[in-house]
Parts: sequence; C-alpha cells; structure tokens
Amino acid sequence: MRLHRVALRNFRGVLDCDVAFDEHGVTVIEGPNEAGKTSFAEALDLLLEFLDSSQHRRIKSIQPAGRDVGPEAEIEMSTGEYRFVYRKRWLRRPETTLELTEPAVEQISGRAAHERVEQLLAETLDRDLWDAMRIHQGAELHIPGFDVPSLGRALDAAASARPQSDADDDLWQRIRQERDQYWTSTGRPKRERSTALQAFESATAEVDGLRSRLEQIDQSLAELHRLEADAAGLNATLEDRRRTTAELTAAWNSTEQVRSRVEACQASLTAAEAQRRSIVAEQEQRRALIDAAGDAERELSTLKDRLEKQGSALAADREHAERTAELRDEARDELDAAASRQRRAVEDRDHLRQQIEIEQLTERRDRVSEAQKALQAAEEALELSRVDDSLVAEIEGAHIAVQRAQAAFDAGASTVTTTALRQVSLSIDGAERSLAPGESHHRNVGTATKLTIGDAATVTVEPGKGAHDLAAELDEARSDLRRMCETAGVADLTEARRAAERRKDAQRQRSAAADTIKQDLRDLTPDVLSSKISGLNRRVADYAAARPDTTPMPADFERAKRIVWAAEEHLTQCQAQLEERETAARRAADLLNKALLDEAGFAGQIENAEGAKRLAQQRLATARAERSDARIEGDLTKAQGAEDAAAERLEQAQSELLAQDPRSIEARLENARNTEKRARRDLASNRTQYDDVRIRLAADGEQGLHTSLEEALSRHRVREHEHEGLEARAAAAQLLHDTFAHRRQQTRMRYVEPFKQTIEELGRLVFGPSLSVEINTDLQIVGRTLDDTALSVDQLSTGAVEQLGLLARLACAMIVSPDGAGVPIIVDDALGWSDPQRLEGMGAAIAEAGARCQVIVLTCTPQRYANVGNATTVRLPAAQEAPRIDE
Amino acid sequence: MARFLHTADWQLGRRPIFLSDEARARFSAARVDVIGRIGELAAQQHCDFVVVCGDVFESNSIDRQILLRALEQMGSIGGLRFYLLPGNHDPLDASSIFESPRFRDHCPDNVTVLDGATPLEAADGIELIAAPWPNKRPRSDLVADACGRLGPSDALRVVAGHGAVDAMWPESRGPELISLQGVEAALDAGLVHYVALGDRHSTTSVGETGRVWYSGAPEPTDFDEVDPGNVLVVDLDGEQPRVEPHRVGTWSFAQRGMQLAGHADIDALDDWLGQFAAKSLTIVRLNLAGQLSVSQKARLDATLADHGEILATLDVHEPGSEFVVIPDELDIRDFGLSGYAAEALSDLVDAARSGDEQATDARDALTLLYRLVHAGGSDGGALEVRR
Repeated sequence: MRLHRVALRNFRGVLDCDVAFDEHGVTVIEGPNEAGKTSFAEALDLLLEFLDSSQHRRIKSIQPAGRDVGPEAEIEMSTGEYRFVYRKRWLRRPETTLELTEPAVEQISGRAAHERVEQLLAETLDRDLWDAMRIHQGAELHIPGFDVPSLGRALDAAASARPQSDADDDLWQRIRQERDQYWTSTGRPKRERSTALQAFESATAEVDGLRSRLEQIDQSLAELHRLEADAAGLNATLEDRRRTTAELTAAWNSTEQVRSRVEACQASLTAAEAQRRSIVAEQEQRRALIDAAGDAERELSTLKDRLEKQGSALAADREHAERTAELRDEARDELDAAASRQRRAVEDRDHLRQQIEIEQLTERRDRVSEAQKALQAAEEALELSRVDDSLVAEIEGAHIAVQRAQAAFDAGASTVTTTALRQVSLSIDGAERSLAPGESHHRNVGTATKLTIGDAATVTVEPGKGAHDLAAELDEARSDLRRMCETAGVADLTEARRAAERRKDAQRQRSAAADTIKQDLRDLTPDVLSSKISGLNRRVADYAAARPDTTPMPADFERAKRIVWAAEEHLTQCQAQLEERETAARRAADLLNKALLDEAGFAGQIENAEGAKRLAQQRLATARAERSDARIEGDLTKAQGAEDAAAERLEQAQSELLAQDPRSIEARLENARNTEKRARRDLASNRTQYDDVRIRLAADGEQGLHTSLEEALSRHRVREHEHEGLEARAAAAQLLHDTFAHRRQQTRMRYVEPFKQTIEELGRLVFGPSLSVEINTDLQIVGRTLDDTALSVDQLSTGAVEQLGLLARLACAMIVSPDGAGVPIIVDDALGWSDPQRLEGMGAAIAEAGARCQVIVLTCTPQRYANVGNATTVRLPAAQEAPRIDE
Repeated sequence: MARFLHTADWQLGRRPIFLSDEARARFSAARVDVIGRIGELAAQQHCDFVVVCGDVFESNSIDRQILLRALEQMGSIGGLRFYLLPGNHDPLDASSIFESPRFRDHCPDNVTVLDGATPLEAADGIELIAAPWPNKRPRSDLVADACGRLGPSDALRVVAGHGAVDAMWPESRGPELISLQGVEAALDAGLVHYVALGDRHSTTSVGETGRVWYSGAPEPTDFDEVDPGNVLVVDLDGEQPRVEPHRVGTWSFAQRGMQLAGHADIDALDDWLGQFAAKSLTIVRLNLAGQLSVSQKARLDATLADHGEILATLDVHEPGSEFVVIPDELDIRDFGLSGYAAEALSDLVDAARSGDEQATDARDALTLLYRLVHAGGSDGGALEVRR
C-alpha cells in the first residue's frame, strides 16, 4: 500500500489542507502544534473505519468548533493493483465518493463505496501490519511484535524459499480453535469440560446414593432379624420375673399382721411424746417469764448506776466551761488596753507631724509675699517704658532712611567749593565763617543758596531741579525719624535701644517672681495657705492642752513613729490570744451542752425500764395464777412415764417383725417388680423398633429403588462416556496444538534471522558496530547487546526503547515492501527521547529504509528529522483560525 | 399323569445399563410380554399349571409399574395357575415384594406364591414341594431341607427350587449350594419325582437322571448365556419324565472379539453384523483389537455407525492398549502437509507408534488432525473416542 495524497477540509482546526507524499522515500510533514499533523494520521483511520453517517464520538470530535460545516477527508492511495481517491464528509451533508483509476476506471458513491474500499483492503492489505506500523503521538512507547501474516510470508520466503501458504495458516488457526474449545487461554479446562465432569460426578453421587439406600434395606433386614432374636430373649426374662414377683408377694403378705401392730404401737408412742412435749413447752414458757422479770429489774438498776456516774462528769464539764470563759474575758480587757495605747501613740505621732507641717507652710507663705512685691515693681517698670524691640526696629529703619537720603543728596546735589586765596569771611545763607588761605569749603546745594565771600562777592547758587528733589526727600526722612523718636519718648536711636533693654529686665524679674509664687502656692491660694497654717496651729494647741499627762509626749516625730509600731505589734498579739481563748471557751460550752443532753436522755431510758419491769411482773403473776410452777412439774413426771411405757411396747413389736426379715422381702419384691417393668419396657421398645423397621422397609419397597438404580447406572455410564470422551478429545487437541506450536516455533526461529539482520544493519547506524538484538518467535525485540553488555528491553532507557521500536518497524517495512505488500510507516512525532547523536543515526536509518519503503513523518520539531538525508519536506501553515460566522 | 410348564428367572424389571434409553424400555417390556406367550404355550400344550422357579422379579425393589403389568398379564390368562417361587433376587424377607401391599392388593386369583415348605397340591396327584429363599443369604441347602421333611406319599412330587447345584460349580463354596447327591438320593427314594430349578439362565439338564432341570430364562438377560429363551413342558407320570424345551424368547445377545488389520477385516465385521435376523431385538458387543490406519479407522467408524442405528444396541469397546490407529504412508500423503506441519505430523506418528503413555493421546491427535485437514474444519463434528 502507498499513500499519495491526503486532503482535509473543515477537519477540526484545519480549514483546508492538501499534502502529497513521496511514493518511495521519506516525507517529513512539519508544522507547529495544532497545525493538524495528527489529524492526517487520524483521518486515515476515520476514513477507513466509519461510515459517513456515523455519529461516533470520534467523528463528533473532528467537527470544527463553532461552525456549522461537515468535516471532510480525502486520500489518494494505491494498494495491490488498485489506485483510487476516496473521500468522505461526515455530520453535515454526509457523503462518500470513490474514484478508482487503476486497473480500471470506476466511480462509486455512498455506502457501496465504503464497502468496495473494505473489500479492496481485505483483499490487498495486511491490517495487522498496518496497525503495527503506526507510531502514535503520545501512545505508550513499546516495541511491537511483528507476528503478522505479511512479514511471516516474507520471512518464510527468505528462510526456505517456500512461501508459507494460507492453507498452513488456516490449519494452524483450526488447530488453535480446536484446542480453545477445551482449554482456556490460561490452560485451564473450559466450562463444557467442567460441566461434563460435574455431571459425571453427580451421576456417580446419584448411583452411590441409591446403592446406599438399597444397602440400607439389607441393613434393615439384618436389624429385623436381631430384633426378633432380642424379643424372644426378653419374653423369657419377663416370664421369669413374673414368677419371682408372685412368690415374694406371698411372703410379704404374711408379715403384714405384725407390721400393723408395730404401726399401732408407733402411733401411741407418738401421742405420748406429743403430750410430754406440750408440758415441757409450757415449763419453758414459764421460765422465760421469770427470766424476763429479772432482766427488767437488772436493766433498771444498770441505768440508774450510769446516770449517777454521768452526774459527776457533768460538774467537771461545767467548771471547765466557766474557767475558759474567764480567760477569754481577761484577753478581751488586755486587747482593749493595747488598743487604747496604740491610739495614743498614733495621735502623738500625728501631732508632731502637724508641727513640722506648720513650719514648712510658714516658710512657703513668706517666699510668696516677697515674690509678690518683686512682681509689682516689675509691672510698674514695664508700665513706664513702652519701647520694645519692634519699636526699636522701626526707629532703626527711619534712621537708615535718613542716612540713605543724605547719601543720595550728597551725590546728586551741586557742590560749591570755595577755596580761599587769602583769609576771607564767608557767609553762606547767612551763616558766617572764615577761611584761611588755601582752605576750602564745600557745600552741597539743594536750594537756592546765597554765598557771600567777604565783601567781595555774593554768589547765588540756584541748584537744578534734581538737586532740589533730593534735598526735599532728605528733609522728609529726617522729619519721619524725628516723629518716631518723639512717639517713643526718646531722643534718638541710642536712647531707644537703652529703653528697650530696661524693659526686658523688668519682664525677666516679673517672670521669676511669678515662678516663685506658683512653686510655693502649688494648688493653694495665699489665703488658703494662711488659713491652713492657722488651722494647724489651732489643732496643735488644742491637742497639747487636751492630752492627758499619763505618758510623756515623745521627743520627736521619729520616736513617735517607733512607739506606734510597738503599740500595733502588741495589739496584734492580744487579738491572737483572744481568738485562741474564744475557741477554747466555745469548745468547753459545747461539751457542757452535750453532757446536759445525755443526762436528759438517761432519764427517759430509766422511765421506760421501770415500765418494762412492771409489765413482766404482771405477766408472771397471771401465768402462775393459771397453773402453778409445782403443778407443771408434776404433770411432766406423769407424761414421761406414759411415753416410756409406749416405747417399750413398740420395741417388743419391732423385734417380732425383725425376726421375719421384711426388709429383705420388700427389697427383693421391689427389685422383681422393677425388673419385670423393665423387661416390659424393653419388649415394647423392641416392638416399636421392629414396627418402625417394617414400616421403613415397606416404604422403601414401594419406591422401586432397584429400578431407579438401574436407570441411574445407565445415566452414569452415559455421563462417564461423555466425560472421558471429552477429556480424551481435550488431551488430543492439546497434544496436536503443542506439537504444531513447537515445530512452528522452530521454523520461525529460522526465519527470525533475516529480520534480526535487517534490524541490526539499521541499528548499527544508531548504536554503533557492536549492536546485536535478540528476537523472540513473535518477532519482537526482547533484548539488546552493545559492547558485550546484554540488556533486556525493560532494562533499556525510554529513548533506546523508542529507537528500537522505530528500527523494528523500518526493518519490517524494508522486508515486506519490495513485493508490494507493505504499508507506509507513519511516525507521529516520535524520537522525543533521543539525544542529538542518536538522532543523527536514526536519520540515517530512516533514510536507508526510505529507499525501500514509504515513510511518513509528522513533526512539530523539524530539527529532529533534519538528518534524514533524502526526505521531502512539506510545511503546514500554523493553525488556521476559522472565520467566525455571526448568527 | 400330569403336564406342567417349568420356567424361571423372568427377572421382571431388569434394564441392562449398557442399552440405550429406547432399547431399555423395549427390553423391559419384552420380559412382561413373554408371560403372554408362556400362557399361550401352556394352553396349547394343555399344561395343568406353570411353576416359576425363582427370580420372578429382578429385585424386591422394582418399579411398581412393572409389577402391576406382570400381575395383569398373568391374571389375563384365566384358568391357568401360576406358582411363583421367591429366589435370591426376590427373597421372602421383610422387604419381600410378594408380601408387599402392592403385590397383595393386585395379585390375581390364579397366582400363588410358594412361600412355605408344606406340600401343596398343584393338580390331581401332583404335589409341589417349594424351597423358597427366606433371605438373600440362606445358611443351608434349601432343597435338601424341603426334601428332608417329606414322608412317603402316593402323589407325584415336583420340587421347585432355586440356586446353584454344587456339581455344576465345583469351585463354589457356600451353605446354600444345592447338593446334587442329596437331590438324586430323594429321587432314588421316590420321595420326589422331578426337580424344577431356576437361577441358571441357559436351559440345562443336571446330572444323569433326566429329572433335574434348569429351564433357563424365557428372554435372554446377558451376553454370557448359552441357550436362553426357552421354557420346559414336562410330562410326569411316575416313569421317566418327558421334558421338552420350547422357544419363547425374542431378544438375543451377541458378543465378539475381533482382530482388525485392514479393510478385509472391516468387511468381515460388516458381514457379521449384517447377519442377525431380528436386528432391532439384538444387542451386540464388540471388543476390537489390532491396528488400523487413520483412513481405515474412518471407514470402520462409518460402518459401526450404520449398524449401530439398526441394532438394538451396538456396544463397541476399543481398549487403547489393544486397538491402535496409526497413520500409514498413504494417510501421511493424504494429509497433504508440508513444512513445519509435516514435521509436526511426523512427531505425532512417532509418538503414536512409541507405545509409551502418550501414545494414545498421539493417536487421538492424529485422528483429530485427519478430520481438521479433510473436513476443512467446517463440520466440527466431535471425534468419538471410546476406550
């Protein structure tokens, strides 16, 4: 089979794509992920497998997402003598067409086309080989077995030059089928055989069961025989017992008379005994009454003794209670005294502390009044001088403005310089002055100035307009400065600065005085402070006047504190003592109360005992009135006499009876009767058993067991034949199969060799010259030897397994293809586990194989197959985004 | 002078297990039907009575249907008296069929069970002396016991007994054996005049007196019987009795061992199987030995299958140790195998000829292979292998 072309339209992500393959050699189809490479491989399966009407999930899965169009696939291929184009569209407007071009032109559509292709493939294609030659992307990596007819034939031809015939295959299949009729795949008997065995066993069991029931009849017969013999023996025994019973009964009857006399004597003795026992009972009752009266009296006297003893104990308890109460009162007094001493000490200590407080408060009050005076002085000074720093700053500003105006005037005004040539007097605007020869006088002129030189001349200088303005500005500045100094009450800037210094001093003094007042007053006012001092003075004076003179006042506060501590300690001791004594007093009081209660209880008991004594005495008296003690005694003596006489009579009668040995007669009679009873019972049981066996036999006889057994034996024979026949057939089928399998395997081992050689030739390009492989009879690689190291396939790396798997397929294709029976090898992105060196070798191997068979490689990583020298490359575009059809 | 019919060993209810279901039913029915023919013969021969000397029934536990049919058959022959003697198959023990309600309730008037030793007048001047089996293992010679109780009489006495006669089975031991010497002594003494026996299925005169006879079974019972299928009509008049066998049986048993070596032997076997007169009433057992090729075996199987359809039963024994099927050269060519298949065939032939424990399986495997090759696997018919 050769693939020439595959075209896909609307096939999953592929819009429209058409790929042609090299008929011989390697075609590498490259494309990025999701370009639809795998769809090419899948399309082959779907085309060959599913009708255009199929709704299989694999068909539904190729429907392009979001578009209402039917997926289409088309292949052009040749197989055997046929060449055709085969196309299908699924799901939407399904369609199948087939155009045969060789050997004759033929056009078919619909289901007939599908069936025609199936027929062509069945005729020309080795489907097992087709499946073995595919390497699916992501499929489990493994080395396939190549036990497929095409390779078998090709190898057989290579090995023996005699092609393996279809008839041989057919016979082998029939031998296997025959074996499979009797054996499961795991070599166990099939259901038919186990069923036959069970049927045989159950027939055997049925026969055994019936035989055992027939044997049961024989046993029953034997049992009947035994029962009959037993019955005869029992009858004899019974007869013998009957005789014995009769004899003993006669003997027993003759003792009857004596026995009745014994019984009469026994009766009178019993009556006499009863009489005596009644009198004895009365006597005992009387003694009990006497004892009860005595007991009551003793009880009373005992109680009285105890009451007396109880009285003396009570007095002791009372005395103890009083003593403990006194001790408790003393402790209370001591505690009161200690408390009073402690209060005094505390008051003394507080008194001395108040004296100290008075001194401290007085000092604070004096400091406050000093500070108040200073504060007032500072306030007055501040009131007098208003020159503060800002006013000084303003005056300094005005001063600087005057200086600036002066400088401007000096620069801008006309200057008249008069230089005396001789001594002259000079009058300038009325101001006189004289100049020595050579002396000069300079005058800036701002206003019209009249200069008279001696008498020589009067010069009038009229300044220009600029000089005139400058002079006016200077005057204005001066006038401002003057006005400010007047406001501040100072003459000039220097005086203003001094006044400001003085004001600062006054402020500092005011602040210091205020701090002192605040510190000493704290949260008080001066008045409160004063009233506190006077209050304390009053209290100190009052305490000193009121304090009693019993103890002297401590010398100072520290001593007073120590006296307080001592007083408090003493007070604590007194409290502890009081608690202890109060407990003791309570306990003594409780004891006393209990003793008082006990005393009251005893009184009640004595009263009861006195009542009991009276009652017992009354009862005794009543009984004696009825029958005196002496009379009871007399009656008892008489009754004893009567009893003795009766006993003597009984003894005489009994010895008379004993002489006749009635016990022995009775025992023997009893035994004889029991034996007779037992014999009757045994006989009855024998009869019952006998009847049972007879009934059983009659019932068994009605069942025709012998006939049933013969029927069962017949069935058993049939089942035995069936079972043994089946087992013999199974053994024959197994032997035939094993013999054929053994010879077949030997033959295969012979033609494994060319396959092995081809794999090794290709493999040495990848693994180097030392490679050899081990092939089993299923034509599967099971081991690899490299540099004398042999490994089984499951010990190899994933990459090596993948490489060997592909090499095996290539080798198979090379062997099969020349006779036209081959199929293309389709490799869907394999060799992902191979390193660059191995990839190079694999490229060479694929190229080598491609020279003799068709190889189609689908890949998204073209560099993997870059080493395949003679490959034709087809590039698929990236996944085509389907145009969205808006509803 | 009296004439009576002596028969025995009806063994009603017998159903040999080697028969097919169909043949078994017919075989069982034939044993009841023969009673009718006995009645006809007795009437024709003017017999005064019929004495059945033991084993009337195959067992005390036979199917009710057979019992009732047999009683009905005897009852239907009015005017002829049947005397039935309990034998070792149907002894007179507590399970006895003769004492069972089903027998008593259905026993016709002309049927008498010989259940005691007391002489019984069977016809004018004829006394029957019965020696019934009281159980399956009697402890004495019952015939001798019965004769020992007899005193002189004017009547002609017929002893009805059952069991083996010591003189015929000298190797046998057992208290129940009938002493021929004792019987002949009683005959000599004139205490008895004819001893009618049952147990042996072949018609046989015992001793030299001509007065002691086994009648044989009226229908054959098994393969090992010499002359079954007869009853005896006996004339007794004080002189030497006249005893005349009459054939009443319809079924026959035949068995044969055959050595097969080729087609000629198969032909002979075919002829032999074809010579039986009443094939549907004939039960045949074959014990085959020898050696055949696979193709010969196929022919043998076909021949046997054909006869098996016609005969009541054809029971073929092919013990693997004595009867072998091994392909000859002709067979091997006929297989048309080559390559590894031919090698495998050769292995199997070697194994089949080896005689070791796998030889039988190998022969079966060859026969199977023959079928698979020739039937093309299409018929799938089971290979019948019986050993």
